[in-house]
Amino acid sequence: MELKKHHILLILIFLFSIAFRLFFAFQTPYFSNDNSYFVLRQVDYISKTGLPLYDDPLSYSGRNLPFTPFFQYILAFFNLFLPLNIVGKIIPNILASTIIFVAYLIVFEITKNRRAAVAIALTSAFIPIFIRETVNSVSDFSIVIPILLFIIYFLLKIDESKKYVVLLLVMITLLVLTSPIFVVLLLGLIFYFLLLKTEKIGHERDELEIILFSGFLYFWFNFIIFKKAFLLYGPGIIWQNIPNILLSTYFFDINILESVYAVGVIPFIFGIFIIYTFVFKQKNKAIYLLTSLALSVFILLWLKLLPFVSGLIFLGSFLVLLLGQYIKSFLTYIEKSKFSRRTNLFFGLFILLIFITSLVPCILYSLNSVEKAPSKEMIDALDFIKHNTEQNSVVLGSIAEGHLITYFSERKNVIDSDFLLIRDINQRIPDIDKIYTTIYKTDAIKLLNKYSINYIILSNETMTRYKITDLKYYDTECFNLVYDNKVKIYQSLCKLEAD
Amino acid sequence: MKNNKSQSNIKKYSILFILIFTFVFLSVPLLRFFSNQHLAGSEPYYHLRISELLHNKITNYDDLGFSGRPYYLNLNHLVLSRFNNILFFVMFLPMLFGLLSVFIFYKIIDSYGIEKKHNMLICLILASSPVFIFTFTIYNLYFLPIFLLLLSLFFLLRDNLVVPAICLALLPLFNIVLVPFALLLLFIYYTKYKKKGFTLLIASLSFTSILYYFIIYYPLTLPQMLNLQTQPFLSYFVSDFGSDFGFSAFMLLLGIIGFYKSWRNKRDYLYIYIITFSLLAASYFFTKANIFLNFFIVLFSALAVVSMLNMNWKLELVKKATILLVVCGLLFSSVSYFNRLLKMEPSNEQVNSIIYMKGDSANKDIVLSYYKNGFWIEYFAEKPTMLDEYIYYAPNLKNRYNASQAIFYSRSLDSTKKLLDNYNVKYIWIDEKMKSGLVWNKEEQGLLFLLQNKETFKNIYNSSEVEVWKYLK
Repeated sequence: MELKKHHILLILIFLFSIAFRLFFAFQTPYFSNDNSYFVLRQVDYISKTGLPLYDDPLSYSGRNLPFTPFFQYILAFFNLFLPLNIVGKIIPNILASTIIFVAYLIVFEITKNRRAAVAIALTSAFIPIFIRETVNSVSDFSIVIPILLFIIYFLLKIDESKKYVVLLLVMITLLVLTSPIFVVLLLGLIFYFLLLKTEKIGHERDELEIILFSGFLYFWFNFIIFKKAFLLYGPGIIWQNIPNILLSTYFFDINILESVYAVGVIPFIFGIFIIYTFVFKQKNKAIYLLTSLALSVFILLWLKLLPFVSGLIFLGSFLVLLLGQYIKSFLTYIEKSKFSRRTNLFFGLFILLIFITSLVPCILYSLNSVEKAPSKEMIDALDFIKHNTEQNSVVLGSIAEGHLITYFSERKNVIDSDFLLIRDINQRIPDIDKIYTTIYKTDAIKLLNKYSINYIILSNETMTRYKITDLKYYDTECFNLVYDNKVKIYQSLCKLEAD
Repeated sequence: MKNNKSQSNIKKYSILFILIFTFVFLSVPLLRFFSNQHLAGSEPYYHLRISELLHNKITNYDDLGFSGRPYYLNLNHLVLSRFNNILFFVMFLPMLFGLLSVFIFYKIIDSYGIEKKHNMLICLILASSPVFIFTFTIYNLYFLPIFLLLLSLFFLLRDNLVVPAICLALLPLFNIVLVPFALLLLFIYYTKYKKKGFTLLIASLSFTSILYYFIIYYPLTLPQMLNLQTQPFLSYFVSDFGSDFGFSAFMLLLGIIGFYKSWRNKRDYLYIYIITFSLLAASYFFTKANIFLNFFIVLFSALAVVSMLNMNWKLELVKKATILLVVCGLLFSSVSYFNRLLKMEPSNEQVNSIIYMKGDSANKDIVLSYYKNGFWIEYFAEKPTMLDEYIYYAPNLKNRYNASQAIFYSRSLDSTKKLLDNYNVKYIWIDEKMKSGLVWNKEEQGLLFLLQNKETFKNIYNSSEVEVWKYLK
């Protein structure tokens, strides 16, 4: 196959995207969020045993955590040839960069305009919120978004050939196996049918059949994986048992300015403009599909049924695709105007504007992401625990440090950021706050005994959060300061006898 | 002629296939028997013990349940007690009647002129449904009445009144609780078909019901009720959530789709809707209503599957994938449920601990445990229990239950001793399930804390699964 100009452009954009991502990813040997370490532990376990670790003996000092494991399996496959840390740094970034190809395909399918498609390929590589969440994190969004876009593409092509049906079924299955967030697609498709009905456009029977299949697959698979959680929380499973005190940090009101910045100014404005144009003035089934998906995300965000960050990633992806239609319309308009001979110049300027307005937030987000990685002092402290404590020790750290304790120290934690199926979560958080802030030794020892805690980590972040420099009840009778190098580690020695 | 013959062959083989399929799913007792396991569940042990009691002498007193209680004669026990090897019949009778019930159900559906392949589908869904598997593998008071009701309907559809009259007359003797349901079915049947014989059937059902009630239960009033369900409703309604008498989640989803599909012909389904919703309401209060509701949910599920098969699919591949998914979804729940029954308690370890308790003293000392363990203790240890699962007409039900709760959760040694003395409790039998959520959630909670007092309690049996404590006073 001969490489055409647009192929070369796409490859260059892909390489540029990977280079950009890896440049920031390798600024630090660590990852930006604690959840990355949970994924890496799972990858490591899968590599060794072939199975995911659903009954985790370390998290919460032993718990059951259901999750969909496809992403971890993909990484485990690469872990067969590459070291775990390298897999975590490189593979998610490569996967996330594949969004370029699928965005190109979708926009070309909708607009039949190659320039618009290449422009969107470039824009999709730099969706600020998507970059922030995937550049230095082992996040399943790296694979969820490309798969989701492939599903949209194959849905648009379903009538053309049987091979697209097969590919569509494969992609749907992969997405169901990767993330429960598939529900966004299901809801979007339902909106799509409603929109077609209100606009009196007939829908294709095959699309309905796909929804039926997807619905059954999603229900069955998620029911198998999450049945315990479903029984415990019912529809409340949406909020993943996030403690009341933290719920507002995951699900919060839509902040327009933040959303515009996170999605990219140009995609946000012109994406919404396209939605307006096609809902009220023109008719196009493909645009309706993207509009429905964007609307479903928007409604879920508005009702606080979707975590804000996840919602913005989806919204950003759909609005970028809709921007493709605007670019096509823009080019057509210029070509019909008296500036038709300057079309390339206007196109270039417009692309430059998009690129700059997206690239700047991407760079700032990436730098911020690198800064959020744990410090070397923290990792050294965790390493100290690994080599100087008993295998069965329970270590207390903050919520964000939980997965670091299990990954680096290989010790039991008291809390981490996966709250599902933890029955006493709303009690645990105030208890932990109390351990760090109380001035009474008996209160602290009572709680330390309650959770069988042997070691307490006092990191810089924890000190800042609780505005402390030391444990107020610390004395040498009941505590032993075993490590003190910016991060402090205390050993708990006393037990309270029952009355 | 040749065509007729092949049709008849298909019919013959489809019945054979259904029966083999049913046999596979009902083979739990057989598999347990060959792997030297005890009978699954707890209820069979009650029927076994009472039948063995009646085998020796007809009595109206059970001296083990609730530390001694009146016994009201039931035809199940009377029939069982006439055999020499009662255990064998308790083990295999449900299975036999399960096969017969599926066969009759097939015939009933057949008489409505439903296509053979659809009939087969309905029967296969029925045979693999968790509720059906439970009803016809674990001895209970419902499998025979179901068979009798199906047999009645089968003969009613053939305008034969004698067999239904006999069956309905026998029904209250097997389970009087089902009389209102049988009356509802009769009423609906005659409203729909407007046939003769309504009075005869009502009379035969009512006559034995009244006679039985006045002879056996008179002058008792209605039983004292106590809601012992501590889990959310869904955990009693959906088998995948752990219910013994629950529906598979996938079947429920199909049932809802089937119900939606049926709504287009709602007039034809009116009576089915009435029965289904009555049973649905009843199942909220009586889990065992699910046994009957199951037949209707199966019908709606089958309707959903048939609609899917008959749908004009544009994408053949998606059709195949969807049907495969539905089949896998249904089978997955059934197989995992089947597996659960295979591993169902009592385990050999549990039984050994109870037998050990029996040998510890020859006296009829009272044993305290979670009420669901009562039948095992009564059967294997031959000792009376403070509580068991058979709560109807139990003496002092509420007081006993409250006292048991107070004993389980109190950390006051004095008040616990007082209650143990009041109810003459000598042994406390604790298994792993009780310690991990069924009764206690934490170590050293309530009684678990008090058991550390060596002057009051002595640990006489300790294994990974069970602890037996003797109360020393």
